[in-house]
Amino acid sequence: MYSQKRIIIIPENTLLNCCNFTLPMEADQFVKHFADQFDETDASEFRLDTIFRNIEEWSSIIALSIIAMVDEEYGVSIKGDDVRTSNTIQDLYEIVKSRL
Amino acid sequence: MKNNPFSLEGKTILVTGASSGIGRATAIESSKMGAKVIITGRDETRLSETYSSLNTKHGDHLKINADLRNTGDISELVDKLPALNGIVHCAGIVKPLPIKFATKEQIDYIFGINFNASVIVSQQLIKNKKILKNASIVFMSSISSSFVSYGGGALYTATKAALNGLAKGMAIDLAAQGIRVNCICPGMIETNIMNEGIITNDQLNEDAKKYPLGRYGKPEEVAYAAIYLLSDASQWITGSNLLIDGGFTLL
Repeated sequence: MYSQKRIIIIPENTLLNCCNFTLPMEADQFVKHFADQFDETDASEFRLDTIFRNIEEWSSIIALSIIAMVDEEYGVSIKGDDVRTSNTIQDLYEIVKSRL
Repeated sequence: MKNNPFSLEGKTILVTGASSGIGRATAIESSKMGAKVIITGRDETRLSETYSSLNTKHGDHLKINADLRNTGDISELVDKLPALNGIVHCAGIVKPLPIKFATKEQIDYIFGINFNASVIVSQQLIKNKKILKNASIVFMSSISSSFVSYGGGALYTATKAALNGLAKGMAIDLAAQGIRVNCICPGMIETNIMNEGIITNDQLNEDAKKYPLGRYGKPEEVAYAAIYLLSDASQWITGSNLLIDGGFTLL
């Protein structure tokens, strides 16, 4: 059950306060924020290559939450179509990164 | 047009949010019905587009650029306005936002435009005695108010339900002067208010099928209701919510 779980130790202060953190750390933080929008699905099920639409809990409200999360955490506006045309969490991450 | 109770001839009408959508259509259609129209909006270019579309057969109109989120702009606007026979409050925004993102900042932002601005404009006009006896005040509410809502629509719906309540109380306060206060509650209207793209076109097309009349409404179809509520034809209607929704709330 935990075979897919990756254990990454993230020093949180570094993430919050440092502007030029390395790409993998930033991506992991994005995955964490993404996973936070779900209530039933275990955080360990979320990885960059997760096809989020296949997650059973996925819904239109969670899609709106992702858009609102990106606005709140990154100050970036994404559209419903950005979510619709993305397959993996990484696809969305790349869109957000390109608009930072 | 003699003895036409639906005419707006001789009436001076303020339309807020007139740079686009329902506000623009209300300004244009009211001018066709004979009103002298004063339009206000945030976007100067688009407000000028509305202004140049007004029918000038019955006289001159006026445009005043103002951002109603700014109380200074409201005071300036009120100073410039003549006495009014009617107001249609159309300034408003939509921002889909799940409830867990409804922070104080977001509440202030959406209420600031959709609710607070409408109240403050009305209050200042009344205090400065710029609303004439037997005038008509119309607030642009929504079916998403006291009737229905939608996912991510809690704050928007709250602002519009607040307008429904406001109109009822105001209607009582102002009845002695014969001033009527009503809300129009449209279903989804084809305007650029959803152009931000948070809701996709596919979702909108799918949503339009939920209307018994088979489509979203047009801005003019709401403007005609505003004209009715502004005109003497509706002089015994106050404190009401007029639904214009293609039958959406029947189901």
